[in-house]
Amino acid sequence: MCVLLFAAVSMTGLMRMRSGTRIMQKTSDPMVRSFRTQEVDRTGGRFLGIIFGLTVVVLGGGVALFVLKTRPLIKDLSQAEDMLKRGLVPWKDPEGAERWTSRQDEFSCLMNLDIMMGSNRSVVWGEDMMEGARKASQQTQSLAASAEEVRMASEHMGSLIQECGAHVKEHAEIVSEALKGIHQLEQFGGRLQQVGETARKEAEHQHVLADRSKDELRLASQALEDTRERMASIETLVKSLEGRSKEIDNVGQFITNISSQTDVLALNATIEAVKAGGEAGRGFTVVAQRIRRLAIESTEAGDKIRAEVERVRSEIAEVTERVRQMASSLEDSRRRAQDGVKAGEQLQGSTTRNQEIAKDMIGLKSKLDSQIQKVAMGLEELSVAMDETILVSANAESLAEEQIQATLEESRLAKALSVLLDQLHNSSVSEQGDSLAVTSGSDGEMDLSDGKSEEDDIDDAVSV
Amino acid sequence: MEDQFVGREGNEIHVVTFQVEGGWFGISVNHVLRIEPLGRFPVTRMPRVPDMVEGIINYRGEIFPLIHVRRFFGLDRLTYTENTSVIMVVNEEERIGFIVDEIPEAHVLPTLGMEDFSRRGGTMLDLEHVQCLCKDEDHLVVVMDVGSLLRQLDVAAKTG
Repeated sequence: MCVLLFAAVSMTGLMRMRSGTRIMQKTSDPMVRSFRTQEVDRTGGRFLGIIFGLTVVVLGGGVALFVLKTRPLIKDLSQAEDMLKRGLVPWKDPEGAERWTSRQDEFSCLMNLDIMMGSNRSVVWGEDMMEGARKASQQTQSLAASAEEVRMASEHMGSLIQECGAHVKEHAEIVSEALKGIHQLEQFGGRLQQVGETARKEAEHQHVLADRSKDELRLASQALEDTRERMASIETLVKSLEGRSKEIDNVGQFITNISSQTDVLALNATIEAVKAGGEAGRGFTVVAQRIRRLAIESTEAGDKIRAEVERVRSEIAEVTERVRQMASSLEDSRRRAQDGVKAGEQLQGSTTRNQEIAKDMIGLKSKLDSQIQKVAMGLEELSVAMDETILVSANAESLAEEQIQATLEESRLAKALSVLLDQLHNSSVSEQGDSLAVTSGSDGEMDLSDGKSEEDDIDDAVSV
Repeated sequence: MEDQFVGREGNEIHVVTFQVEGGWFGISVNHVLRIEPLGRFPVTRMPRVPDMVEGIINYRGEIFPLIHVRRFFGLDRLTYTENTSVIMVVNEEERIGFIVDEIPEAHVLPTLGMEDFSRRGGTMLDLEHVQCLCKDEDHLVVVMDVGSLLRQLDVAAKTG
C-alpha cells in the first residue's frame, strides 16, 4: 500500500513537473490542495513542481524504508505482549537462548506465602535497616572525616618525625664533636699534669735558691754592717787628722809670723849697723843680712808648710766627703740587703704556695680525668641512644608514610561505604514500600528481585 | 856725713828700697829710724788733712804722721796686707812715716853721676826731690831727698 502511495505521489510530482499549469482539483493531497488557489506562472510553477516532486519522492522512500525495517520489531513486541498477557516472563537459559516461562508457576505460591508472613517483619527490618543505614552513613561520613584528620595528623607527624630525625642527626654530630673535645680535654689534662709537675720542681728549686740567696743576703747585710762601723771609725780618724792638720797649719802660721818678725828685725838691725858704722857695724850688717835671709827662707818654708797643710786639709775634706758618701751608700746597700732578705722570705712563702698550687694542679688532673671519663661514658651512651633514635625515627617516618597511605585508603573506603549506605538507605525505603505493597498484591515479585540485586551490588562495592 | 858722696860717680850708698807701681825708690838709711809692720800699730785718723795722710801713730812716745806713698804719687790705695809696712823717717826734728805695700829692703848700692845728668838732660826733669840715682842689678833706684820732700809735704798740707 505504501508502495502504491509512493507511486501515486511520484506520478503526481512528475505530472506537476511536466505541465507547470495549475494544480488540478482532483488530487486529494492536502499540501497540493493548498496550492490550488495560488496562481503560478509556467516556469516558476515548473520549478516548484520539480522541488516538490523530489521532496515527495525522498519522503516516500524514507517512509517505505522505515516501515520495512520496523515491521519485524513490531511483530516481536506484539508477540512479547502476548506472552506477558499470558503470564510468561522472558529469561535466558545458561546457553543464552531466550525462553518464555511462567514465573507464576515457579514462585507465586511460595513467594506469596513468604511475603505474606515476612512482610510484617520486613517492614520492621526495613525500618531498622533504614535507620541503621542512615546511622552507618553518618558514622562512615564522620569516619571519613576523622580518617582525613588522621591522614593530615599523620602527615604532620611524618614531617615532625623528619624534623626530629634531622635534629637528632645534628645532635649526634654535636655529640661526636663533644667526644672529640673530651679527648682533647683528656690530652690537655695530661699536659696540665706535666706542667704541674714541672712547676712543682721549679718551685722547689726556687725555694732552695731563695733560701740560699736569703742566707747570702743576710751575710752580705752583716758584712755591710761591719763595713759601716769601720767606715765610721775611719770618719772619726779623718776628723782627728783634720784637727791635726789645723794644728800644723797653726804651727806654720806661727813660723811665718816669727820669720816675718825676724825679717823686720834683721832689717832694722842692718839699718842700725849701717848707722853704727865702722868695722863692727859692717860685720854686724853682714850678720844681720844673713839673719834676714834666714828669716826670709823661714818665711818661705812656713808658707810652704801652710800651703801643704792647706792641700792636705782640702784632701782630707774630700776624703771625709767620700767617706760620708760611702757610708750613706753602705747604709743604702745594707737596707737593700735587709729588703732582699725580706723579699727572699716572701719569695720562699710564694714558692711554697706555688708548690701547693702545683700539687693541687696535679690532684686536679686526676679529678679532671675521672670527670672526663664519666662525661665521655655519658656521651658515648648518648651517641648510641642518638643512633638508635635516628633508626627509630626513620622507622617512624616509614610507619607514618604507611599510616598516611592507610588513612587515605580508609578515607576512600569510607566514602564508598557512605555512598553504598546511602543507596542502601534509599533501597530500604523503597523496599519498605514494596513490602507494604506485597501484602496487598502480587506485583512486588519483580521489585523484590531488584532489591536483592542491589544488595549484591553493595556487597560487591564493599568487597572492592 | 855721708852726704858728701851723694851725686858722685863710683860712690856707694846704704839705702832702704821699696817699689811703687813698677818703679824702685829709695831712702837713705841715715834718715830711717825703724821699719815696722803697719798692723802692729793702731792708726788714729785725723780730720781735715790731705788725702794722702792716713792718720797718726804713737811710736815709743813720739807722734808720727803717716803718708800713703801711692796716694803721694797720685795712685789709688791698695788693700793692706800683713806685709804692708811703715818706714819711719827722721830728718832733724821732723818725724814722718811712709806706708809702703811690701817690706822694704836694705841695700848698699853704687850711685850714678848726677852732675852730668843734671847738665845734659835733667833740666827738663824736676829733680828737686831726688838725692841721687843708684843702680841695682838691672834697674835704677831713685833715692829721694828727704829734706825737700818734707818741705813740699808741709806746703801741701798747709795749702790743702
